[in-house]
Amino acid sequence: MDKSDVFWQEKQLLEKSKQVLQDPTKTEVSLAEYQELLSSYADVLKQVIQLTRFSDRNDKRMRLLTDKLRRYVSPPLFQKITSGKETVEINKTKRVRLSIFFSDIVNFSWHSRDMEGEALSDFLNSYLEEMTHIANKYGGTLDKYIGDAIMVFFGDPVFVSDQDHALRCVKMAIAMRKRLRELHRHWYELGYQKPLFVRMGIATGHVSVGNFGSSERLDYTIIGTPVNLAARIQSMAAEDQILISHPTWALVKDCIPCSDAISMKLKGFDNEQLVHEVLLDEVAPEGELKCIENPDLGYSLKWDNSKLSLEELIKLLSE
Amino acid sequence: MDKYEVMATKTTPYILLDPQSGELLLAGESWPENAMDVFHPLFEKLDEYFALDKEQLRVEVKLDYHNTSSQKLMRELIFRLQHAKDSDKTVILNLYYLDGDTDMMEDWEELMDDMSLNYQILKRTD
Repeated sequence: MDKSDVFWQEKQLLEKSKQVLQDPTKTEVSLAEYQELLSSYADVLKQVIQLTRFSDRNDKRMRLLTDKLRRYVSPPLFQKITSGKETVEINKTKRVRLSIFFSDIVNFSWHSRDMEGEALSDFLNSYLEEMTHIANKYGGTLDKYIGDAIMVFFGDPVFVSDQDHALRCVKMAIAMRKRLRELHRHWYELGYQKPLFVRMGIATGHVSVGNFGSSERLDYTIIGTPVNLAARIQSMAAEDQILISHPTWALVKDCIPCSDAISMKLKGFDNEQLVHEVLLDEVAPEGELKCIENPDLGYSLKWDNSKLSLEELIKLLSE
Repeated sequence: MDKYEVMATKTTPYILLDPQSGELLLAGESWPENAMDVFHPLFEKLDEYFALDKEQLRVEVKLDYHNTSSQKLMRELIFRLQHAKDSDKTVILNLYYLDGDTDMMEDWEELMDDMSLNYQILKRTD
């Protein structure tokens, strides 16, 4: 019997019981033997019950812990880690083309200077809660909060297509701005005098994505020029304005109305950068944007079905 | 008998059986690939210890986390201590749980069910 096996005693008991049955000299089992077997069975059953309960408690502990940890990681990344697809190793990075979003509150220090610590954290948390909800709704990976600033990227850990990432990123920014406008009244009623505005910037490009840090503390984040570009573009945006880089514009221009290119000199970039302002105020609900196209016949039509039915569109075109 | 000391690893606990002071300490985490690799040598050392005609053993268990296999072998450890007590040895057993970890407290309570050992389940203060 292999005594390095955790269950060697139980296996030994089973073997012993088999031997009793296989013994040709035995015609019946004695009461003493039956008693011994019964006692062993009762012990094994008790052990099974104890260990099952122990294992269930360990499972519960793990569940509660996982539930706490999930709040520190973005949903797509959490899903990737817990499904075992993401190996948590340092130096494991890859080059991916992503769309990166930065936002911050205009004059946040001015807004916060008269607030008590608790009021400030309530205010900031309610703002971040609302914005994070929208980022998750659009499938963005929330990279980090830096005070009142938010950094989100699209395209990792789930890669769809460059256009899909850029579109979802810009739509998220529009939805955030719309929600903020709705919240102006709410915050005014809570006693905040000046409406809160944000600056938003988006850039698309190749970055290194993966685990950065030390073996004891890792951050799943991105580094690269497009990250700096998104941050710089954001810093140049006016109140309530969404500015996007030229490569982002190239991916969304057919679906999102934008301004002509504006040439900007940005800190840290030798050449002037072309940026565009997003001119759309509201995103059509998902699935409401309809499209009919046939390049061979020379037409391509996109319209918001929530505002204009196909019949109305036909009528409009025939006029 | 020499002092038996095994340093902790990421998955195995610190173990100290000191025949001079008559103390056994288990501390840290226990979730090795095969829990027998941890507990079997300890059981052999315990047999050796009780064969020395020592009168008393004080056991301190300060595990932060242990897996189901380790719990099964903890059960076996308790049986061995019970056997020593039944052979007229004095065994003092202290099982610790982390503050707020009522699950671990229940783990120990269930483990000690039906045992007549002199034991206490205590909240860790370290």
